[in-house]
Amino acid sequence: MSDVERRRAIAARLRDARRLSGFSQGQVAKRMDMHRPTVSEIEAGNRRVSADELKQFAELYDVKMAYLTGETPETLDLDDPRVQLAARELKKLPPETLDKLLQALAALRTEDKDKI
Amino acid sequence: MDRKALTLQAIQAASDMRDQLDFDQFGPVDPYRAAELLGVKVVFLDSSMEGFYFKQTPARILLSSLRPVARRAFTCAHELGHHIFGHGSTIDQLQEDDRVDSVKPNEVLANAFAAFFLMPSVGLRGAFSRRGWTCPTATPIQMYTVACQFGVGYVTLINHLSYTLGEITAARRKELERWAPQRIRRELLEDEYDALIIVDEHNEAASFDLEKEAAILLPLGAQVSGHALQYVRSLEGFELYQAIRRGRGKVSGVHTAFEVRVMPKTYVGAAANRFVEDPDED
Repeated sequence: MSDVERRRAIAARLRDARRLSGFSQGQVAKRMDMHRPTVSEIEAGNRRVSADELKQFAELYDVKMAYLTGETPETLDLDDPRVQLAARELKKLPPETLDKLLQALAALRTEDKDKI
Repeated sequence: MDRKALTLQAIQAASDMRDQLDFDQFGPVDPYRAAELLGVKVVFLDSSMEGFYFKQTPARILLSSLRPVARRAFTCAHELGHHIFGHGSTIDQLQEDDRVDSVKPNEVLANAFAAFFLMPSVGLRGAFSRRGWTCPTATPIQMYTVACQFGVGYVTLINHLSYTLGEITAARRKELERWAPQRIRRELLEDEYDALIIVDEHNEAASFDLEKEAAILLPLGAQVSGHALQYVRSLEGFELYQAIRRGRGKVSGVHTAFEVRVMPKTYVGAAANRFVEDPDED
Protein backbone atom coordinates (compact mmCIF):
# COMPACT_ATOMS: atom_id res chain seq x y z
CA MET A 1 0.00 0.00 0.00
CA SER A 2 1.40 3.41 -0.93
CA ASP A 3 1.61 6.24 1.58
CA VAL A 4 -1.33 8.00 -0.04
CA GLU A 5 -3.49 4.87 -0.01
CA ARG A 6 -2.63 4.24 3.60
CA ARG A 7 -3.47 7.80 4.54
CA ARG A 8 -6.83 7.54 2.77
CA ALA A 9 -7.62 4.24 4.46
CA ILE A 10 -6.91 5.78 7.88
CA ALA A 11 -8.98 8.82 6.92
CA ALA A 12 -11.97 6.64 6.09
CA ARG A 13 -11.70 4.76 9.38
CA LEU A 14 -11.37 8.05 11.28
CA ARG A 15 -14.54 9.35 9.65
CA ASP A 16 -16.49 6.18 10.47
CA ALA A 17 -15.15 6.15 14.02
CA ARG A 18 -16.13 9.78 14.56
CA ARG A 19 -19.67 9.08 13.37
CA LEU A 20 -19.85 6.12 15.72
CA SER A 21 -18.82 8.39 18.60
CA GLY A 22 -21.62 10.86 17.86
CA PHE A 23 -19.29 13.86 17.58
CA SER A 24 -19.47 16.45 14.79
CA GLN A 25 -16.24 17.70 13.22
CA GLY A 26 -16.62 20.92 15.20
CA GLN A 27 -16.91 19.04 18.50
CA VAL A 28 -13.81 17.02 17.62
CA ALA A 29 -11.82 20.12 16.68
CA LYS A 30 -12.63 21.62 20.08
CA ARG A 31 -11.56 18.48 21.97
CA MET A 32 -8.43 17.85 19.92
CA ASP A 33 -7.48 21.54 20.06
CA MET A 34 -7.42 21.72 16.27
CA HIS A 35 -9.00 24.09 13.78
CA ARG A 36 -12.17 22.70 12.29
CA PRO A 37 -10.78 22.65 8.71
CA THR A 38 -7.89 20.51 10.00
CA VAL A 39 -10.36 17.80 11.04
CA SER A 40 -12.00 17.98 7.58
CA GLU A 41 -8.61 17.73 5.90
CA ILE A 42 -7.65 14.72 8.00
CA GLU A 43 -10.92 12.96 7.17
CA ALA A 44 -10.47 13.76 3.48
CA GLY A 45 -7.07 12.07 3.58
CA ASN A 46 -5.27 15.33 2.74
CA ARG A 47 -3.31 15.66 5.95
CA ARG A 48 -1.03 13.16 7.61
CA VAL A 49 -1.97 12.08 11.16
CA SER A 50 0.80 11.51 13.70
CA ALA A 51 0.87 8.38 15.86
CA ASP A 52 0.17 10.57 18.87
CA GLU A 53 -2.88 12.10 17.22
CA LEU A 54 -4.16 8.67 16.20
CA LYS A 55 -3.93 7.57 19.82
CA GLN A 56 -5.90 10.64 20.90
CA PHE A 57 -8.53 10.01 18.22
CA ALA A 58 -8.87 6.38 19.33
CA GLU A 59 -9.45 7.49 22.93
CA LEU A 60 -11.89 10.24 21.99
CA TYR A 61 -13.90 7.92 19.74
CA ASP A 62 -13.59 4.92 22.10
CA VAL A 63 -12.36 2.68 19.29
CA LYS A 64 -9.36 0.38 18.91
CA MET A 65 -6.13 1.97 17.73
CA ALA A 66 -5.64 -1.10 15.51
CA TYR A 67 -9.01 -0.40 13.90
CA LEU A 68 -7.94 3.12 12.93
CA THR A 69 -4.63 1.94 11.48
CA GLY A 70 -6.38 -0.78 9.50
CA GLU A 71 -4.67 -3.66 11.30
CA THR A 72 -8.04 -5.14 12.27
CA PRO A 73 -10.87 -5.79 9.81
CA GLU A 74 -13.64 -3.32 9.11
CA THR A 75 -16.29 -5.72 10.26
CA LEU A 76 -16.64 -8.54 12.76
CA ASP A 77 -17.06 -12.08 11.52
CA LEU A 78 -20.13 -14.02 12.62
CA ASP A 79 -17.71 -16.80 13.64
CA ASP A 80 -16.04 -14.49 16.12
CA PRO A 81 -16.17 -16.26 19.50
CA ARG A 82 -17.62 -13.14 21.15
CA VAL A 83 -20.80 -13.24 19.09
CA GLN A 84 -20.94 -16.96 18.43
CA LEU A 85 -23.64 -17.58 21.02
CA ALA A 86 -25.83 -14.91 19.46
CA ALA A 87 -24.88 -15.82 15.88
CA ARG A 88 -28.00 -17.87 15.14
CA GLU A 89 -30.25 -14.98 16.22
CA LEU A 90 -28.06 -12.41 14.49
CA LYS A 91 -28.51 -14.22 11.18
CA LYS A 92 -32.24 -13.44 11.39
CA LEU A 93 -31.59 -9.69 11.27
CA PRO A 94 -32.08 -7.77 8.04
CA PRO A 95 -28.68 -7.75 6.24
CA GLU A 96 -28.28 -3.98 6.53
CA THR A 97 -28.91 -4.09 10.29
CA LEU A 98 -26.48 -6.94 10.75
CA ASP A 99 -23.79 -5.12 8.74
CA LYS A 100 -24.11 -1.97 10.84
CA LEU A 101 -23.97 -3.96 14.04
CA LEU A 102 -20.91 -6.00 13.07
CA GLN A 103 -19.09 -2.93 11.78
CA ALA A 104 -19.69 -1.09 15.05
CA LEU A 105 -18.53 -4.09 17.08
CA ALA A 106 -15.35 -4.33 14.98
CA ALA A 107 -14.49 -0.71 15.73
CA LEU A 108 -15.36 -0.30 19.40
CA ARG A 109 -12.53 -0.52 21.90
CA THR A 110 -12.06 -3.68 23.91
CA GLU A 111 -9.79 -4.51 26.78
CA ASP A 112 -9.74 -8.22 26.01
CA LYS A 113 -6.01 -8.45 25.27
CA ASP A 114 -6.11 -11.47 22.96
CA LYS A 115 -8.81 -9.92 20.80
CA ILE A 116 -7.38 -6.53 19.98
CA MET B 1 -40.34 -22.31 32.82
CA ASP B 2 -41.55 -20.82 36.10
CA ARG B 3 -42.46 -17.24 35.13
CA LYS B 4 -43.42 -16.27 38.66
CA ALA B 5 -40.07 -17.36 40.08
CA LEU B 6 -38.23 -15.49 37.30
CA THR B 7 -40.27 -12.35 37.96
CA LEU B 8 -39.54 -12.52 41.69
CA GLN B 9 -35.85 -12.97 40.93
CA ALA B 10 -35.98 -9.92 38.63
CA ILE B 11 -37.77 -7.78 41.24
CA GLN B 12 -35.09 -8.63 43.79
CA ALA B 13 -32.31 -7.89 41.30
CA ALA B 14 -33.89 -4.54 40.37
CA SER B 15 -34.09 -3.56 44.03
CA ASP B 16 -30.51 -4.74 44.70
CA MET B 17 -29.28 -2.73 41.72
CA ARG B 18 -30.92 0.44 43.08
CA ASP B 19 -29.19 -0.19 46.41
CA GLN B 20 -25.85 -0.91 44.79
CA LEU B 21 -25.99 2.29 42.72
CA ASP B 22 -27.23 4.37 45.64
CA PHE B 23 -30.52 5.14 43.88
CA ASP B 24 -33.58 5.36 46.10
CA GLN B 25 -36.00 2.45 45.94
CA PHE B 26 -39.03 4.29 44.59
CA GLY B 27 -38.22 7.22 42.32
CA PRO B 28 -37.57 7.46 38.59
CA VAL B 29 -34.08 6.36 37.52
CA ASP B 30 -31.93 6.97 34.48
CA PRO B 31 -30.87 3.60 32.97
CA TYR B 32 -28.01 5.30 31.07
CA ARG B 33 -26.62 6.60 34.35
CA ALA B 34 -26.94 3.09 35.77
CA ALA B 35 -25.00 1.68 32.79
CA GLU B 36 -22.29 4.30 33.23
CA LEU B 37 -21.94 3.50 36.94
CA LEU B 38 -21.69 -0.22 36.11
CA GLY B 39 -18.98 0.46 33.50
CA VAL B 40 -21.25 -0.60 30.62
CA LYS B 41 -20.87 1.57 27.51
CA VAL B 42 -24.00 2.41 25.54
CA VAL B 43 -23.96 3.27 21.84
CA PHE B 44 -26.86 4.20 19.53
CA LEU B 45 -26.94 2.83 15.98
CA ASP B 46 -29.44 3.65 13.24
CA SER B 47 -30.41 0.06 12.64
CA SER B 48 -33.72 -1.75 12.90
CA MET B 49 -33.50 -3.79 16.08
CA GLU B 50 -34.29 -3.12 19.73
CA GLY B 51 -30.87 -3.68 21.23
CA PHE B 52 -27.78 -5.80 21.53
CA TYR B 53 -25.87 -6.79 24.63
CA PHE B 54 -22.22 -7.46 23.86
CA LYS B 55 -20.45 -9.38 26.59
CA GLN B 56 -16.81 -8.33 26.70
CA THR B 57 -14.64 -5.88 28.64
CA PRO B 58 -16.00 -3.26 28.76
CA ALA B 59 -19.51 -4.62 28.19
CA ARG B 60 -21.45 -2.76 25.52
CA ILE B 61 -25.11 -2.08 24.90
CA LEU B 62 -26.10 -1.12 21.37
CA LEU B 63 -29.52 0.48 20.97
CA SER B 64 -31.49 1.48 17.91
CA SER B 65 -31.73 5.24 17.44
CA LEU B 66 -34.78 4.62 15.24
CA ARG B 67 -36.97 3.63 18.22
CA PRO B 68 -38.86 6.16 20.39
CA VAL B 69 -36.74 7.71 23.16
CA ALA B 70 -38.70 6.02 25.96
CA ARG B 71 -38.47 2.64 24.21
CA ARG B 72 -34.68 3.02 23.99
CA ALA B 73 -34.50 3.66 27.74
CA PHE B 74 -36.53 0.51 28.42
CA THR B 75 -34.32 -1.55 26.11
CA CYS B 76 -31.24 -0.10 27.80
CA ALA B 77 -32.58 -1.37 31.15
CA HIS B 78 -33.45 -4.71 29.51
CA GLU B 79 -29.87 -5.14 28.23
CA LEU B 80 -28.57 -4.13 31.66
CA GLY B 81 -30.64 -7.04 32.92
CA HIS B 82 -28.70 -9.40 30.65
CA HIS B 83 -25.52 -7.86 32.01
CA ILE B 84 -26.25 -8.26 35.71
CA PHE B 85 -27.62 -11.78 35.28
CA GLY B 86 -24.37 -12.74 33.53
CA HIS B 87 -26.06 -13.67 30.25
CA GLY B 88 -24.01 -13.98 27.05
CA SER B 89 -24.12 -11.62 24.07
CA THR B 90 -27.76 -11.28 23.05
CA ILE B 91 -29.63 -9.62 20.20
CA ASP B 92 -33.10 -8.28 20.86
CA GLN B 93 -34.94 -7.96 17.60
CA LEU B 94 -37.52 -5.37 16.75
CA GLN B 95 -40.79 -5.86 18.63
CA GLU B 96 -44.05 -4.23 17.73
CA ASP B 97 -45.69 -5.25 20.97
CA ASP B 98 -43.83 -5.67 24.22
CA ARG B 99 -46.52 -8.07 25.45
CA VAL B 100 -45.32 -10.82 23.15
CA ASP B 101 -44.11 -13.00 25.96
CA SER B 102 -40.79 -14.57 25.32
CA VAL B 103 -40.39 -18.26 25.87
CA LYS B 104 -36.76 -17.81 26.80
CA PRO B 105 -36.10 -17.57 30.53
CA ASN B 106 -33.25 -15.06 29.98
CA GLU B 107 -35.62 -12.76 28.09
CA VAL B 108 -38.35 -13.04 30.73
CA LEU B 109 -35.79 -12.16 33.39
CA ALA B 110 -34.33 -9.20 31.50
CA ASN B 111 -37.80 -7.83 30.68
CA ALA B 112 -39.08 -8.11 34.22
CA PHE B 113 -35.86 -6.58 35.49
CA ALA B 114 -36.26 -3.59 33.16
CA ALA B 115 -39.92 -3.12 34.13
CA PHE B 116 -39.32 -3.21 37.88
CA PHE B 117 -36.06 -1.27 37.76
CA LEU B 118 -37.75 1.60 35.88
CA MET B 119 -41.23 1.26 37.41
CA PRO B 120 -41.05 0.07 41.03
CA SER B 121 -44.56 -0.73 42.31
CA VAL B 122 -44.41 1.49 45.39
CA GLY B 123 -42.98 4.37 43.37
CA LEU B 124 -45.77 4.12 40.80
CA ARG B 125 -48.50 4.04 43.44
CA GLY B 126 -46.88 7.07 45.13
CA ALA B 127 -46.77 8.96 41.83
CA PHE B 128 -50.54 8.53 41.39
CA SER B 129 -51.53 9.21 45.00
CA ARG B 130 -49.32 12.30 45.33
CA ARG B 131 -51.34 13.82 42.51
CA GLY B 132 -54.68 12.78 43.98
CA TRP B 133 -55.14 10.21 41.19
CA THR B 134 -55.76 6.48 41.41
CA CYS B 135 -54.43 3.83 39.09
CA PRO B 136 -57.75 2.18 38.19
CA THR B 137 -59.42 5.48 37.26
CA ALA B 138 -56.50 7.50 35.87
CA THR B 139 -57.23 9.25 32.55
CA PRO B 140 -55.01 8.76 29.50
CA ILE B 141 -53.33 12.14 30.11
CA GLN B 142 -52.70 11.25 33.75
CA MET B 143 -51.20 7.90 32.70
CA TYR B 144 -49.09 9.68 30.13
CA THR B 145 -47.80 12.13 32.77
CA VAL B 146 -46.73 9.28 35.06
CA ALA B 147 -45.12 7.42 32.13
CA CYS B 148 -43.11 10.55 31.29
CA GLN B 149 -41.96 10.88 34.88
CA PHE B 150 -40.62 7.32 34.90
CA GLY B 151 -39.09 7.71 31.43
CA VAL B 152 -41.12 4.88 29.90
CA GLY B 153 -43.65 4.74 27.09
CA TYR B 154 -47.39 5.14 27.69
CA VAL B 155 -48.21 1.61 26.52
CA THR B 156 -45.30 0.15 28.50
CA LEU B 157 -46.70 1.70 31.70
CA ILE B 158 -50.25 0.54 30.98
CA ASN B 159 -49.10 -3.01 30.24
CA HIS B 160 -47.01 -3.13 33.41
CA LEU B 161 -49.93 -1.84 35.52
CA SER B 162 -52.33 -4.27 33.90
CA TYR B 163 -50.54 -7.56 33.14
CA THR B 164 -47.83 -7.51 35.79
CA LEU B 165 -49.18 -5.52 38.73
CA GLY B 166 -52.90 -6.09 38.22
CA GLU B 167 -53.63 -2.47 39.17
CA ILE B 168 -55.94 -1.86 36.21
CA THR B 169 -58.51 -4.15 34.66
CA ALA B 170 -58.31 -5.59 31.15
CA ALA B 171 -61.32 -3.50 30.14
CA ARG B 172 -59.70 -0.30 31.40
CA ARG B 173 -56.44 -1.25 29.66
CA LYS B 174 -58.28 -1.58 26.37
CA GLU B 175 -59.90 1.84 26.83
CA LEU B 176 -56.54 3.42 27.60
CA GLU B 177 -54.92 1.72 24.62
CA ARG B 178 -57.31 3.54 22.31
CA TRP B 179 -55.41 6.67 23.25
CA ALA B 180 -52.22 6.54 21.25
CA PRO B 181 -49.60 9.08 22.34
CA GLN B 182 -50.33 10.94 19.09
CA ARG B 183 -53.97 11.41 20.15
CA ILE B 184 -52.86 12.63 23.57
CA ARG B 185 -50.56 15.19 21.93
CA ARG B 186 -53.39 16.43 19.75
CA GLU B 187 -55.70 16.68 22.74
CA LEU B 188 -53.23 18.92 24.58
CA LEU B 189 -51.54 20.92 21.84
CA GLU B 190 -52.85 22.64 18.74
CA ASP B 191 -49.49 22.34 17.05
CA GLU B 192 -48.05 19.13 15.63
CA TYR B 193 -45.00 17.70 17.36
CA ASP B 194 -43.31 14.32 16.89
CA ALA B 195 -43.02 13.76 20.59
CA LEU B 196 -44.18 15.28 23.86
CA ILE B 197 -43.00 15.08 27.45
CA ILE B 198 -45.26 16.29 30.25
CA VAL B 199 -43.63 17.46 33.46
CA ASP B 200 -46.08 18.59 36.11
CA GLU B 201 -45.59 20.31 39.47
CA HIS B 202 -45.35 16.95 41.29
CA ASN B 203 -42.46 15.69 39.22
CA GLU B 204 -39.69 13.79 40.99
CA ALA B 205 -37.50 12.80 38.03
CA ALA B 206 -34.05 14.39 37.94
CA SER B 207 -33.77 14.42 34.15
CA PHE B 208 -35.76 14.16 30.92
CA ASP B 209 -34.36 13.14 27.54
CA LEU B 210 -35.72 14.64 24.34
CA GLU B 211 -34.89 14.58 20.68
CA LYS B 212 -34.59 17.87 18.85
CA GLU B 213 -37.98 19.27 17.76
CA ALA B 214 -39.86 17.46 20.53
CA ALA B 215 -42.23 19.43 22.75
CA ILE B 216 -42.13 19.56 26.53
CA LEU B 217 -44.73 20.93 28.91
CA LEU B 218 -43.22 22.44 32.05
CA PRO B 219 -45.06 23.61 35.16
CA LEU B 220 -46.01 27.30 35.27
CA GLY B 221 -43.20 29.44 36.66
CA ALA B 222 -40.44 27.09 35.46
CA GLN B 223 -37.16 28.86 34.69
CA VAL B 224 -35.04 27.26 31.98
CA SER B 225 -31.30 27.86 31.59
CA GLY B 226 -29.17 27.16 28.50
CA HIS B 227 -30.05 27.21 24.82
CA ALA B 228 -31.45 23.70 24.33
CA LEU B 229 -35.10 24.69 24.86
CA GLN B 230 -37.13 27.47 23.34
CA TYR B 231 -40.26 28.91 24.89
CA VAL B 232 -43.33 28.53 22.66
CA ARG B 233 -46.40 29.62 24.63
CA SER B 234 -48.45 29.15 27.79
CA LEU B 235 -51.37 26.84 28.05
CA GLU B 236 -53.57 25.87 30.94
CA GLY B 237 -51.28 25.15 33.88
CA PHE B 238 -48.20 24.66 31.71
CA GLU B 239 -45.55 26.41 29.68
CA LEU B 240 -44.88 24.82 26.31
CA TYR B 241 -41.24 24.60 25.22
CA GLN B 242 -39.61 22.99 22.22
CA ALA B 243 -36.22 21.27 22.05
CA ILE B 244 -34.25 23.24 19.48
CA ARG B 245 -30.56 22.55 20.14
CA ARG B 246 -28.40 19.68 21.31
CA GLY B 247 -27.41 20.34 24.91
CA ARG B 248 -28.69 20.54 28.45
CA GLY B 249 -31.02 22.92 30.21
CA LYS B 250 -31.55 23.24 33.94
CA VAL B 251 -35.12 23.82 35.04
CA SER B 252 -35.62 25.67 38.32
CA GLY B 253 -38.44 27.59 39.98
CA VAL B 254 -40.29 24.29 40.40
CA HIS B 255 -40.84 21.96 43.36
CA THR B 256 -37.80 19.81 42.46
CA ALA B 257 -35.22 21.21 40.04
CA PHE B 258 -34.40 18.93 37.12
CA GLU B 259 -32.49 18.79 33.88
CA VAL B 260 -33.76 18.55 30.31
CA ARG B 261 -31.31 16.96 27.87
CA VAL B 262 -31.66 17.34 24.13
CA MET B 263 -30.03 15.07 21.56
CA PRO B 264 -30.16 15.19 17.76
CA LYS B 265 -32.96 13.26 16.06
CA THR B 266 -32.10 9.58 15.50
CA TYR B 267 -28.73 10.25 17.12
CA VAL B 268 -25.96 7.81 16.28
CA GLY B 269 -23.05 7.67 18.71
CA ALA B 270 -22.03 7.09 22.28
CA ALA B 271 -24.78 7.72 24.82
CA ALA B 272 -22.26 9.70 26.85
CA ASN B 273 -21.87 12.25 24.02
CA ARG B 274 -25.47 12.71 22.98
CA PHE B 275 -26.14 15.96 24.85
CA VAL B 276 -22.78 17.63 24.17
CA GLU B 277 -23.36 21.07 22.65
CA ASP B 278 -22.40 21.19 19.00
CA PRO B 279 -20.68 24.29 17.54
CA ASP B 280 -21.60 22.96 14.07
CA GLU B 281 -25.26 23.73 14.82
CA ASP B 282 -24.54 27.49 14.71
